Amino acid sequence: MSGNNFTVSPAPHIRSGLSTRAIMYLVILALLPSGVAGIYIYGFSSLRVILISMISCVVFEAAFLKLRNRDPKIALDGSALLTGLLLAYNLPPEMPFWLPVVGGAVSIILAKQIFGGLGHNIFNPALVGRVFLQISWPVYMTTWKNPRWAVDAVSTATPLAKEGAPLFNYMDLFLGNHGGCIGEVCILALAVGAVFLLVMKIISWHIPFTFIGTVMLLTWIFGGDSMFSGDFTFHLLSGGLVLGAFFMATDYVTRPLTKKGKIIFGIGCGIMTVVIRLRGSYPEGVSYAILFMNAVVPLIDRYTKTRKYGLQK
Amino acid sequence: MKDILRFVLVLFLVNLVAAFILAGVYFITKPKIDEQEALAREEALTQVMPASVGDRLEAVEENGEVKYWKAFKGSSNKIAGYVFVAKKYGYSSVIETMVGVKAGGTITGVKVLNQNETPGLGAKIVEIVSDRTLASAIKGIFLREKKIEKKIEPYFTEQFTGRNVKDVDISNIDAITGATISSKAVVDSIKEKGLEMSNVR
Amino acid sequence: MLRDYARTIFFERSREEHYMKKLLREFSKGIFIENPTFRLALGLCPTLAVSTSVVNGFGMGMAATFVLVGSNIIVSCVRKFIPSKIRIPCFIVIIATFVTIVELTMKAYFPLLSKSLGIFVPLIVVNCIVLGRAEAFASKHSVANSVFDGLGMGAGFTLALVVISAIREALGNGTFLGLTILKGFDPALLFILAPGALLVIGILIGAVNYFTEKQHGA
Repeated sequence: MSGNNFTVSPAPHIRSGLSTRAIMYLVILALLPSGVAGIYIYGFSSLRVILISMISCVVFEAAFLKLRNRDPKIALDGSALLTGLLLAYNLPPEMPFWLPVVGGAVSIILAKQIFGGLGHNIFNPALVGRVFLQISWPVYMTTWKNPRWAVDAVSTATPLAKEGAPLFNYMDLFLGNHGGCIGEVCILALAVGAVFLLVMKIISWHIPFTFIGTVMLLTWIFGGDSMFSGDFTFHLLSGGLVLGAFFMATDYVTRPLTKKGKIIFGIGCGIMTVVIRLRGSYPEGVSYAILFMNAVVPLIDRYTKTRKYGLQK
Repeated sequence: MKDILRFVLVLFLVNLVAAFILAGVYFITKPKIDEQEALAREEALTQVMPASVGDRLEAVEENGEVKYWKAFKGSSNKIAGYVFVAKKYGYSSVIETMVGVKAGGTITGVKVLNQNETPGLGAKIVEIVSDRTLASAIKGIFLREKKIEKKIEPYFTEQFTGRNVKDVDISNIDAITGATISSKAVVDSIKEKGLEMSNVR
Repeated sequence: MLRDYARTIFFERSREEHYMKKLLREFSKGIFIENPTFRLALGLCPTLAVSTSVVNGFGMGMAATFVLVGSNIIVSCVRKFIPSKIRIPCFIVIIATFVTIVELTMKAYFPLLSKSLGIFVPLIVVNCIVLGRAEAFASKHSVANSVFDGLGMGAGFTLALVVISAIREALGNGTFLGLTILKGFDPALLFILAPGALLVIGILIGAVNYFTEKQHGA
């Protein structure tokens, strides 16, 4: 198992010292820089969205666990908090207070608890919540706020909305100086968290790097006016690609188990993202791509299942 | 062999009876359907071409198909305006609008004839804002209030009225939020067809 | 002789007083115990497609009920003459005839409803409830029983459609029968779109199953 002790994979297993709870809180820790950046860039309203989202997720989790005759204290295992945090990171910084509450309810109840709670959900709960909100209230979900450095009061579109594209330079995109969702704008902060997770071996390189690599390759080939002239750096730095690839596609429950499976999963996510970004009617495709590939995970797992230890094929 | 003959006979009989019944129903309903269609067209025509601009409409036909209508005012022979039908594929269906213009190109009215856009999004091009709510409607039933319903136009198509076809553009028409594609289809089709019509003259 | 034969086609052998009860049971089973949408999971495609507003749902339910009763009557009448090997094509022709009648009548007398239901009226032909009842019930039972079965199934289908479309219209468009329910409520568009239909039907089927299970004390 190449010393990668914290990866869920088929037997044989090496017992690690890390509990689910510890992993969850480490991921939350890794996400913190991005949240701080989001609050710094868009101001106090981002913090409000983050807090409402996290609190409502934990409350709904506890309530539903109680309804299922489970111990409501399980809600504090960090998974609901993480879902709430990821959901908030996928929301614009300013919105009516009830929107994150509804998002939290959908994420926890519809995407997670109905399937049987942590470990049984097919789809990434935070993304289900986000997509629900995106389809239901497109207006609120695309009302962006200006970053603190913006001079003019004209609200900026997200870079991926095609007309807005030329306004941004790479440095702005890298630091998060543009309209966008709370946790996806500052690539620098996300990169810090991602490196932390990789170093701690909580996530492996397979999914994020194949995902991002596929997106960059395909946008380079097809993204421009002619073949092989697409602006792949722009596609890497804008939208939720980095957040999605490192923090959401790698969700333990909804990703494939084997290395081969993860690579297939990452490439699939990349292809779907590019197809939606370049040809779809939505400007951003990361969340749909990950959800789509979540649905395929059981199939991937079946065809990439490793041989049981000591068993002849 | 005998079986097959029997099958053929039974199927033939079933189909024959069905065909006769359908023919009967068709002949009964046909005039009524035509009448309904004519009524709908008539209503749309008077809606987009107010009588104050032109009260006499004359269809211009080409190969037995109505291409557009010329409108005349009173007994004068001067063309007061035109009515035409514009179509374009929106988000999930062909959106067909009937448009009335004055001779100068000013739009007198737009009515969506056919559309099958997403309800709640694209279908809002025909939405009418009304301040009747469920509560007020129930109250109305109990109090037997007789409210005179004012004829209100859908707010999206109403924006076109009074504009010149040349100035119709997606930049100065408020698109339906979340349904830019449907809105743009209506705007573009009216602009295209309108400019084409002004060349016909 | 002929009268006796006609009797076996129209009624089933049974003591009079029990017979009425049986017919009523035939009717009521379609509404809950064997509700086509929630229990038999039949005819889900039109249910998903037209349940965007209560008016559409009710209109569709009524149209399907008419077709159901009509096709049930005819199928049951001719059940003794149709060779079993070609029964399906015969049933389809019968159903298609009724659907076309409904479509033309709707166009002639309810043009607005026919416009908003659009393609889904002709598609009643392939609604599996209709063929399902013809095959599973009408081709084996007398006319009287089949009429009540058709009425019950139609009522169950209409009820399901109205419930689903009421929920979807209220949540997705903020209206009931086209009237705004609450001012200032931001409707969740998702419920008007296809995923909303799947969600609502799924949750309702789950709820119905939960309560039936509870009732039977499983």
